Amino acid sequence: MKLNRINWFGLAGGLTVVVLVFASVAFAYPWWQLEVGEGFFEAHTSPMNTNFSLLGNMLTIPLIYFLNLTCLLSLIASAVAMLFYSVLPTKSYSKDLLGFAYKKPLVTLLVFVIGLLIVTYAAGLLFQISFPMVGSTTVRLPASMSGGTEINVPIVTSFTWIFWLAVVAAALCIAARLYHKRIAPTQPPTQPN
Amino acid sequence: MNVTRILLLLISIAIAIGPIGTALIIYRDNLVDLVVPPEASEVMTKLSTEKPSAAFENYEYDASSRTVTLKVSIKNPYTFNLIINSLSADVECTAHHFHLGRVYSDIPQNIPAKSTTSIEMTVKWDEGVEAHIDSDHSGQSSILVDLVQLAADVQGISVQLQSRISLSDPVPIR
Repeated sequence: MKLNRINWFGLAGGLTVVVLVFASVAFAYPWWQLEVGEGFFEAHTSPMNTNFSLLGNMLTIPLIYFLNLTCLLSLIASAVAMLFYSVLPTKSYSKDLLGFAYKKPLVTLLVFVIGLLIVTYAAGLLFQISFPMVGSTTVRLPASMSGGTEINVPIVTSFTWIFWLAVVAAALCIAARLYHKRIAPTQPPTQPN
Repeated sequence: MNVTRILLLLISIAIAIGPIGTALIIYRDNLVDLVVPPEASEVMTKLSTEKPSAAFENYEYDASSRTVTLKVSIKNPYTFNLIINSLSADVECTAHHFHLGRVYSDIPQNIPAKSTTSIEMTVKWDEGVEAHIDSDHSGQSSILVDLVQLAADVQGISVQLQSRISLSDPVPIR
């Protein structure tokens, strides 16, 4: 194995995805979190692990659990394929492995961000409550929900460092795709003599 | 199409369909549970049907410091603990709506699940209140009071009642 034939971007991207999966699942680090009041309601979300806590009661939404499982398997497959490809980028099957692996971290990241945008927008429409995706705010509940009582609810939301690690992983995988052209340029078709 | 490509395509399809297909099979008899777990409905039902309640236990009046201490018992009907960070209210004389002061308690209280905890709130009469009592309640040993603008900080969420709460027992003033 020649070192100059290794796709270092792919190797770094694959390892970053492994770290991402491990941190999100084994340590349950969220990518984005929301806190309502002081432990009244908490949401810790990532594409691979999502949990909600309402007054200390852990809630799991089965649909989200199975969607998380889909993302988890997708990223594990992506990491394995990217690592295999990175050390053997010139094999005949390598380009297929790269094509299979490089988009998945970016797609996962985009689906996650779009999902969050939809959820925050839907919350505004359904409950007449608007809160930012990042930052803190105090929401006054509409009279229809509070029964005439004035209720102010502090909401704090933030992306965590794991989210930014996911951005790095997605960028490295895209870079691996671009770098592939340099280490395994497409062979021009041979001219018949 | 080569073998690698077919294999990767099959893996992609299995990953995309497998978990969601499994979920649909497991929850085929009750698809609502797939989106709204039973424990969430249970907690939301409890929150909407059962409310914490407050009852006034007793009052104490310290004439030397002109301080009234109200003891309020708060019942937590839920199966989880509640933390009340602060509780305050304006006290007004029922007969004249004269502002007597503001009772408060800013010591966080943890009310365990399914239990009742007493919270002490104090208010200090100032000279204006003394003058009001001397002029408008002369000869009385106690007066009826209302609580207005009752405010509570429960788990960081601030709740303020707009209604006036009349206390059934008169407050000692001498």
